[in-house]
Amino acid sequence: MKKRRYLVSIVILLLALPMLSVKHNINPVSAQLPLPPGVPRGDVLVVENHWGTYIDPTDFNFKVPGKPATGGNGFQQLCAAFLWYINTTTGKPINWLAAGPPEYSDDFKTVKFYIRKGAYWNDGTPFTAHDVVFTIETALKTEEWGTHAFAETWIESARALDDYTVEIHLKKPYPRFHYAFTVIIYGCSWWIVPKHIWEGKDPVSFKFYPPLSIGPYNLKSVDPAGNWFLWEREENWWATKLLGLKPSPKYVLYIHQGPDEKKALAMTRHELDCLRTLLPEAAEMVIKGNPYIIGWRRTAPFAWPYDACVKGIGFNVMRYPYNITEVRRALTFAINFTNIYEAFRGVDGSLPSVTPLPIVPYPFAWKAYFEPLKDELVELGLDPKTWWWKYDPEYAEELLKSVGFKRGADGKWLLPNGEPWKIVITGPSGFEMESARLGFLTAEEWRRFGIDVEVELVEAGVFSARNAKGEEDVGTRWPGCSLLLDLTPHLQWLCSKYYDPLAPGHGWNIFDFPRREELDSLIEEMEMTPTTDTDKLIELARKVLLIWAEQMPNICYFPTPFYTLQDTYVWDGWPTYPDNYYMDPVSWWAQHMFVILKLYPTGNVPTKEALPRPGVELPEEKPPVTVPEELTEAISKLSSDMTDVKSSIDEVTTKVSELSDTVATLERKVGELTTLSTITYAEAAIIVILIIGLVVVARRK
Amino acid sequence: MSKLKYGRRIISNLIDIYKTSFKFRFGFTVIFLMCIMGFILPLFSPVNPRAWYSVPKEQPPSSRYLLGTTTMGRDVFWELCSSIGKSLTIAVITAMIASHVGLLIGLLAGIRGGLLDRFLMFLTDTFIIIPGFILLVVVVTVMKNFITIPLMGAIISIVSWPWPARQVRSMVLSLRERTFVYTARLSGMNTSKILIFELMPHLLGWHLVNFANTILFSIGTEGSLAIFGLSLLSDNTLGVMLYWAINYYALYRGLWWWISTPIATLVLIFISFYLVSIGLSEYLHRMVR
Amino acid sequence: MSLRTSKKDLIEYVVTRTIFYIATIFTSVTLIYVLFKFMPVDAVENIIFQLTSAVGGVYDPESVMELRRNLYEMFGLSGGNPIESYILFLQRVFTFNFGPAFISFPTPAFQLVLSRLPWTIGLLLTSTIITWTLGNLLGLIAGYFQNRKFAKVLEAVAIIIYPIPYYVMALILILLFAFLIPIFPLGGGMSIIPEKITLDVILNIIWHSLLPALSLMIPGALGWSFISARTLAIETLSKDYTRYAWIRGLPSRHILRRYVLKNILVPQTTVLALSLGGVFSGAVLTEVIFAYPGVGMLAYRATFSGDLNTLMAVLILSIFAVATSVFLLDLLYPLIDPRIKHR
Repeated sequence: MKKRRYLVSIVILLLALPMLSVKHNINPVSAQLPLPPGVPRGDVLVVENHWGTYIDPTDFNFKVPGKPATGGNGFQQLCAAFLWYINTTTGKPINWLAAGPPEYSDDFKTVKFYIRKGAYWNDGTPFTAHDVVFTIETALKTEEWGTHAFAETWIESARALDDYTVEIHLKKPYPRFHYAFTVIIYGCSWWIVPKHIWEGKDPVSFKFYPPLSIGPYNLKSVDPAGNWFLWEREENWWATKLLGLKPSPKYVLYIHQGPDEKKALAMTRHELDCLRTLLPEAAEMVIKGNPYIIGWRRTAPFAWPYDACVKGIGFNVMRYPYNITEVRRALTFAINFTNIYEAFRGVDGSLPSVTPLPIVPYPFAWKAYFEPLKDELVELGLDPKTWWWKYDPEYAEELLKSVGFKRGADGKWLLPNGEPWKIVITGPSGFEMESARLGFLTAEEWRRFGIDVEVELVEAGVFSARNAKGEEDVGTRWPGCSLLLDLTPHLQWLCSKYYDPLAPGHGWNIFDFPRREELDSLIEEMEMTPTTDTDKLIELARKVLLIWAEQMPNICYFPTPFYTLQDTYVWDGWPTYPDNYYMDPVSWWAQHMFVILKLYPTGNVPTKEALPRPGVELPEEKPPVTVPEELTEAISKLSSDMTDVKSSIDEVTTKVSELSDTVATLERKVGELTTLSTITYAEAAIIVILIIGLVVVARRK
Repeated sequence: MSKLKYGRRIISNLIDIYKTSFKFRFGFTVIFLMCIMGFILPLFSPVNPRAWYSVPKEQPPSSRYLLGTTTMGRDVFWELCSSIGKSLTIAVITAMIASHVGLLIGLLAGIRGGLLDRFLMFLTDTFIIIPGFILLVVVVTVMKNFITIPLMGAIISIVSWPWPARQVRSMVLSLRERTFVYTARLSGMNTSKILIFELMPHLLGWHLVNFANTILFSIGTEGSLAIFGLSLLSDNTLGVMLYWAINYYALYRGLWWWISTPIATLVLIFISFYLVSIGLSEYLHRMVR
Repeated sequence: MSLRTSKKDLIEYVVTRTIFYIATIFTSVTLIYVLFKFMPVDAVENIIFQLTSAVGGVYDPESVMELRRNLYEMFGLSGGNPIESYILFLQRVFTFNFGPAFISFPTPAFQLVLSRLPWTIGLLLTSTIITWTLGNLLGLIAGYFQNRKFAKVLEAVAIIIYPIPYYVMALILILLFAFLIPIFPLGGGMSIIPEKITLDVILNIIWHSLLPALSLMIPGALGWSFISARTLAIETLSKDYTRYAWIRGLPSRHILRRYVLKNILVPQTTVLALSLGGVFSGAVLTEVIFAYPGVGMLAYRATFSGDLNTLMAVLILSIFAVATSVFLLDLLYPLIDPRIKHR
């Protein structure tokens, strides 16, 4: 009786086995993506949803704060209406829905925006100044909008002079007013809402679903679980008529697969075309497993070294002993930078781009700020060989002893009051792992120097609260974010007038030091200088940076390398440095639209409605923000020099990469064959064994 | 019976079990070895197992690095020893507190009944109905600043005492209605004697299994919390070791020595505790017979 | 000492249990409220952090200060008399009004939780029931046939699988069945366009939830249920009356059902009731690993964004669920074990 039960279960097992063999024949590339029936993989561009699971995926009212990010579901890349974008490679603005640069009055209290004629929303309604005015007025009236704070602070009134001109009156002079309407880093909260849709609705609870798009794609469907968003190409886009632009992919899918290793797995299987970043170890998995992978460069090293924020260590200057400048500088010189730098060397040779200052070392920033300040920085302790602060433990010791620190009997440092010196570094847990790594490395350096250091990792909610309330000694923070050549918006937070008692942060705003007034007045002067006066801005910024370097409120290391991997199996045309460098590979920023406009199918997978080649090149308009001639010349000379050298190397490289591509494809095919055959053999073996077992059991009866 | 004689009897029983039961011997030996690894060996560690980048990274096991090294430049073997000690400490503290508190409360409630029973069940239920994992997340977040190893053990016991209490009480309730208990009571023995002689042997088997299970639950919970970063990440426990191995994708990158070590250790610890408890309960059954 | 209970006793029992039901809920809710006051998270600062630092966005510092104040007001986080706010809180809780969810303003937190609930219930309800049934069955069989080879093999397998940490088990399953042998998807809730509810859509949802369900069922069925069922089965088998029944020649199926099974049920139903109640808090780890859009994932996001309203909603909903199942269980106890007198 019992034996019969065994037989039954064995039979069931046998029946289940064929399931394994069925799946072998399915093309793994399209097996798991949520596409409409009949859509081939070659029609779809798959981008990573960097935010994660959207709690309410049908909520597109991103004006109310607290919602998930606008860059994870494709909203800011494909749908939202922006007036200007900054081209990350040059730092110069692109006029998009604005026809040109803004016009300020002499006292900077009135500004005019000119709207591009001929642009229209994807339902046919023209995009006009009335939409802009409506957005501004709603922001002024609606307290629950995030942009209300900005509107309340600066805007007196706004009106449309005609269908294509907006005139805004400001409460106080603000030469940088239009930055709020420009996509600089990541996105912009002043996206323009369509008046004819939002009028009469409650701006707080209106969900704006499905969102009316003015970009190249319309929202087709949304995952009720909040993990993916599918966008379908708009065939009658305004930019196709006016600028000749039409994207190649018929569909774009923003999808969140899960933690890093899942993304890496997906990318290895060609189910993800581009992503934000992976930890170097996961990136290694993808680079080794997928021969079609490229990154910021077409060949290794792949990492993008210009992420917008410089990571490092921040001192809470409200706490003793970090309020003593000598202590902060001593701690900087106690670090052997080479150890930290080397720890970030990627398996593919990627290295971070070093910066001792709180600004990202873009090539144009390097020419404007780093080179000219070299001498002064060396005087302050810069090592010209590494371009970072010198490793000088003896000098550090001197500095500490000069303010009363002593070494204890065991060699460990003691505070002037005799207590042992213990530093607790607060780091992020579960996000920004690279910053956490920096924290551990720094702790090692300081430990070697003789201080007792602990690293405490806390998750996002606690991390942000601690910083804001100033409840930590030292944290792995990154206040130095920059993109523009005009450093005013990036440095102005250093001024004491921005002290907020509700959120003192690290207390820099109320920190008193000899040159405080000088710093404050420099920043105020910068704020009053118009954005067109680049010379003056650069000069003032240089002075601010020097004062900053003297005080060292943060130790800046570098922007951690971002492994912005791109898969060339299905799509190509990706921006690569230096040959095809029209944009940075920022798939989570709004500027990614310009990348999507340049992609074309490679033909490795079948396509149906993907355009073979995208439209015309990007509109080459004259840069509206005037950069001094010498700078433009210098930059273009630099790039042409590099191109000359590179072109000859490139020829050789292309030949080599072609060869390695062929080898890789062959390898892959052989691998597939072997796996297929191994599995088939295993199955056959199992079936044989089971049959024998059956026979034996039957006989026993 | 005097306490001294009782004690001697227990020791002689233990030696007896050790000699007769293979399961008990195996489990006990392994636990003993683990304790040595966890508490004695770390005293001889040549490197500070908490220091990053002290040895070359990602080396497979060799004669120099017995179990290889990690991506952060730490020696897996010494990290393991230190982790075992810390994890065992946390687990034992939890099990001690939780299983005994649970047993006590369950017994009291079951035997005494009446008002005491209701009050104790009220207390137990209040804790049972709060979702354990989320409660732990909240508590650890609140106490993040001053968490230590023993405190961690105590925190985890907050969520692991109610279940055993409830189960013990229900078992006691059904056991107590059985005839022999009534017989004992009719014959004039008082409640505590009934408790010890009649009910304990039945409960003991279950309790020992529960003890072993609490130890495992504690280690597992500490591991799950560590994965969310809610543990002593700068210190070593088996959960934290797993956290780092997972976050650096040791499994997918072929660094098998880094990820399989904590797993194998965990499996071994559980098996040995389980075998010990099984050996003990089988012996007790034979004794009762 | 009659085994029959009088009507009066019955009513008294039900009334006492009901009072306790309400009292326990009240106490745990208060406990959580007090605990939350000590949480070092700040929803407002988290939002500002996400806007400025997390992506490096450029924001005018003056407006940020304004924004901060606006947010505090919006979220109702600006202080107040503690006793008053506690009473207000209690009133709102019993009407399931938890205020707006900060991570999805202005959607009410409760509504947010409800929208996620079907996913979690679907996954956890089925896997809990299957795990419980399977675990007890296997434990029963293993206990009854404890000396047979296959029972020993089962026990060995259980001992080895159970202590594998859940995260690792999940990762191994993903590696095996979603990558090397791609039967299941890597994660997510569904991957089909839900134009309308068709069989395809339902199958797709099930297909997506199989791997997370498996990862819950394998350690579950071979874990605690199995081991305690087996222990209890062995214990019951060693009892005299079972021996006597066997000597009498009763068929083993009869013994299993009438003697062993019934004795196991008492503690095991407690476990089931509690597990079922726990379904409402979701399996946080499972949902995060498999990107499964349930209540656990919501609670995870809420904790780390400082959205205490949503977290409170999840916790309190779960408390209600578990308390109710315990309550029901207590009322049903005598049906399972007639020897327990109502006290």
